[in-house]
Amino acid sequence: MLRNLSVRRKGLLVLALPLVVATLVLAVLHDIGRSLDRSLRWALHSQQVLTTIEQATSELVAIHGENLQLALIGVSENEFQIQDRVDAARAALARLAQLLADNREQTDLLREFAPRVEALLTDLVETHQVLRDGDLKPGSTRSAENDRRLLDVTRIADDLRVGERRLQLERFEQVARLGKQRSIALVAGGALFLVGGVWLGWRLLHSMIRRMLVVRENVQHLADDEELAPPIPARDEIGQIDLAVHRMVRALRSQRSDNEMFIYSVSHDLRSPLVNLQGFGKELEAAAAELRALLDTGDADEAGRERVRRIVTEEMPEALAFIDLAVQRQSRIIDSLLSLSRAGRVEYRWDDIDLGQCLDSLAAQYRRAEGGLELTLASLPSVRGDRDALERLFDNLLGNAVKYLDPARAGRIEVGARDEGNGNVVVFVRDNGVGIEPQDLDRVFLPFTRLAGGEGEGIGLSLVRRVVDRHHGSIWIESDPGVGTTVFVRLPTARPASAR
Amino acid sequence: MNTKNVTVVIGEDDDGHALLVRKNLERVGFSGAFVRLRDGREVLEYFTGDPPPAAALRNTLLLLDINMPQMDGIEALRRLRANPATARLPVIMLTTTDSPREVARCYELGCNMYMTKPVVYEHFVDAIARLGSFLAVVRVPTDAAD
Repeated sequence: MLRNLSVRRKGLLVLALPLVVATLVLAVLHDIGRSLDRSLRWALHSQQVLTTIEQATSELVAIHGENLQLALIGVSENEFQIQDRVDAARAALARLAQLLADNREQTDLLREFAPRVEALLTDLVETHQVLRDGDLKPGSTRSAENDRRLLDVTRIADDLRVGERRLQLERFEQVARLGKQRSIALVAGGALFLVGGVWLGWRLLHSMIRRMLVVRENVQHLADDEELAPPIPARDEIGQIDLAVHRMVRALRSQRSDNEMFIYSVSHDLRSPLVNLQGFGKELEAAAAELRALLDTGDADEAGRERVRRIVTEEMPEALAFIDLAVQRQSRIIDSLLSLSRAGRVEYRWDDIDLGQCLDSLAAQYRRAEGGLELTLASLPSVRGDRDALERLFDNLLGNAVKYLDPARAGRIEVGARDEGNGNVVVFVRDNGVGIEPQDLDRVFLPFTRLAGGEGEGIGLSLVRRVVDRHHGSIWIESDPGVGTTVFVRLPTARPASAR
Repeated sequence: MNTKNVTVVIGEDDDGHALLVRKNLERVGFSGAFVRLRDGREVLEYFTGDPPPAAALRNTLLLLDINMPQMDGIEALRRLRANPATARLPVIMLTTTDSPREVARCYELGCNMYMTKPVVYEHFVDAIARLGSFLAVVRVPTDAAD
């Protein structure tokens, strides 16, 4: 599954997967951090509560202590400002009410606590006033009463403190737990990020490198003309490159075997006239030797003179005629080779060519040259190509059709076309000629292949195929021996008027 | 060896080549008859059609060019060897190219000799002399078949 992903997707995966893991880890860490913050805040809150309780009670104790001092020794510190103390105690109470608002249990306790503190404060202030004024008799029960109430208040304060301490403890435990969780998340997430990222990256890289090595090997094999490793089983870019290399090798091999066939037929065809040149050269040599011998004998008799006459008027001209033919043949072959090489070399002038117009004049020429030939042209489209090359192409196809007509019946040639609709048009040239044997169909495009009864150098269809190839088209032949042949040529259609 | 009764049948599309073979064989002393055929089909018709093949087969040597239109020499050889009547006909293949693959193919199909043009006729005579003894052998069953 992984190996069929494109390289781009693999790259994205290598980037994205660790990012996703990192994001998840960060989200978990963030969540834990927030819980941790909250717990810490609540622990601090508890601390505040405890301090405030302490404040409230300490103010009460301070006022009571001042009162006791007054009562016992009648001396008071001048600076003792009772109202400040009372205000501080009240402020502490108010803050407590705020701090504990969200805790029902503690709020209940506070409801018990606050009025008592308030009442005690009132009494303590009153007692203080009385003592200041010196109205109180020593041994009065007022102090003892205050003692008892103070004790009562501090007991409730203790309950409040105990409750808050318990809460604070729970919160600190929570903080410790969250801290631990954070460490675990950090280590595990980091490990997952590193190991996962590295593993995935390595795996993809490794598989890509391995396959790239196969491709490199294959290219090397291609260069060294060795057998290729089988195509790698993946459809990503690397697999496609490998497939392309395989296709290239197939195309090159088929081209090379075509070339070998070509060289084979060319060398055969070049050597055939050579055999005549050499053979009849030797014939001339032999004739010359014979003539010399006849001259050497001096006065020749009748038979000798007849022999000389034969050599000079028959045998030597015959040999010279064959030599002449052979030279002409060689020269034609070389011309064909040159025209074949030109077909691949000459620069094309691309244009929209009206095939109807192009073929009209050609058809007229053939009709003039071949009496009784029935040559019909259907409506033909415009194609994209080179005018000269296309004219040469159809000249060859019509020429072949005419050349291989069956002398036993009236010749009929038909040119038509059908639009394939995908930017291509197929033009066909159909004749009712002698047809091509099935075993010959695959070699008609090879240069220097002549079929039965053919004249010329057999270069026409290989020229045609070059022209078609250069137009990025294709060509194929259907033939029924004794009935006729149809040649199909696929060519690119002319560009629509709007695209010009 | 007396070649007066031997017929050389030559399957060759090139007029010059056929003429050269004939002239050179005559020059080195061959005195038998020549039959010139232009392609594989004519060769097959000559040996398997009318007149009855037995006469055509007697004391006959076939020289076959490989590259011929209609039916090439290799195909003609294959069909001759496939037919029991002509399976033992002495056949010399003639060609302008000596591609090893082609040589192997011809011997595989049962040709008696393979010669490259231009032919060295001194060798050619030796070859015919060697095939002469072969002709003597094949004459017996051909006669018996009469």
